Amino acid sequence: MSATDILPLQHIHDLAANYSDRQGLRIVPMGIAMMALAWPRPIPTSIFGVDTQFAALAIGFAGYWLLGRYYEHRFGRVEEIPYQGISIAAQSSMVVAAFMIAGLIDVVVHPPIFVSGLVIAAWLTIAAWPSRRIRGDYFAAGIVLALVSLEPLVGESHAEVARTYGFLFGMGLFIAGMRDHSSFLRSFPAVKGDDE
Amino acid sequence: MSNQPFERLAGLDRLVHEPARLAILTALSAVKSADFLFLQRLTGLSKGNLSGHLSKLEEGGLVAIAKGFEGKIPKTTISMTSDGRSQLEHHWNDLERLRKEATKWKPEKGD
Repeated sequence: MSATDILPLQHIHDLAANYSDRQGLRIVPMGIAMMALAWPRPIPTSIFGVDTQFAALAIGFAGYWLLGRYYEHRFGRVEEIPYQGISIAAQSSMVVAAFMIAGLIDVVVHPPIFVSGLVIAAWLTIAAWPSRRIRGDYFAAGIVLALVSLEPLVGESHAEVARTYGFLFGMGLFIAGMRDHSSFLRSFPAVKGDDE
Repeated sequence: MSNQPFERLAGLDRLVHEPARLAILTALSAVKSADFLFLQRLTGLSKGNLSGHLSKLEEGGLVAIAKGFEGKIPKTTISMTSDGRSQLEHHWNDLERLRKEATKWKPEKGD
């Protein structure tokens, strides 16, 4: 094997260090679910007796998990080094907790900005920061969503802002997920047979 | 002149410096552990080649290999030892130093 057969070492390091982040297909079901929920035409409040919002989110999370198994089966498994010493599970729990608290503030206090939207925007911006060279679209999406979250300041209703936000967020997840997946597939060289 | 950077290049640790092994070590340095399939996909090496390189790295104490089963499927998990991490770091420092020396190097008359 010659040196030219191997990916540049910086690329190998980036791919290994950001392995789960680069598995773009995992967020696509959630993106579709969010776009469906925020679609301008009214959707039924329940499907087969199950709350539509709950069903859409359940499908999004199930898709995330199932597609994770797909990546593991096809590309292998990695145990990542926690960013800043905080495990990925702990980071996710912190984001979900912050989002729920912010949602409660939105519903109960009715502040002049969309607080739960700002939490997600901040999370996207912060999550993209350490690897912004390869996650520039997430960083940009965080900034756009933060601006949308401030729309109530110029007179938009919270309900309308939440719908716009949900649709944009879903579309962002869908586009970024497909892009990440495509770049992920291109990142791997062809595996050679044992007879070579 | 024995201190010429090009001569010292030949003295680099070949266990680490070989391109395929350097790629494996670079990938492992970015994670806690990875399975065999991941390293195979990332490096593009064949199973036999990758096994051979991993055996050499394990013999050199740079990586630890854990073999087990997940249900009925065999799973091989590879991680870098602390010695491996420090040797890789040392290797990068050596390369960087050689690079700097090479840029400053001027051939002597008669070279």
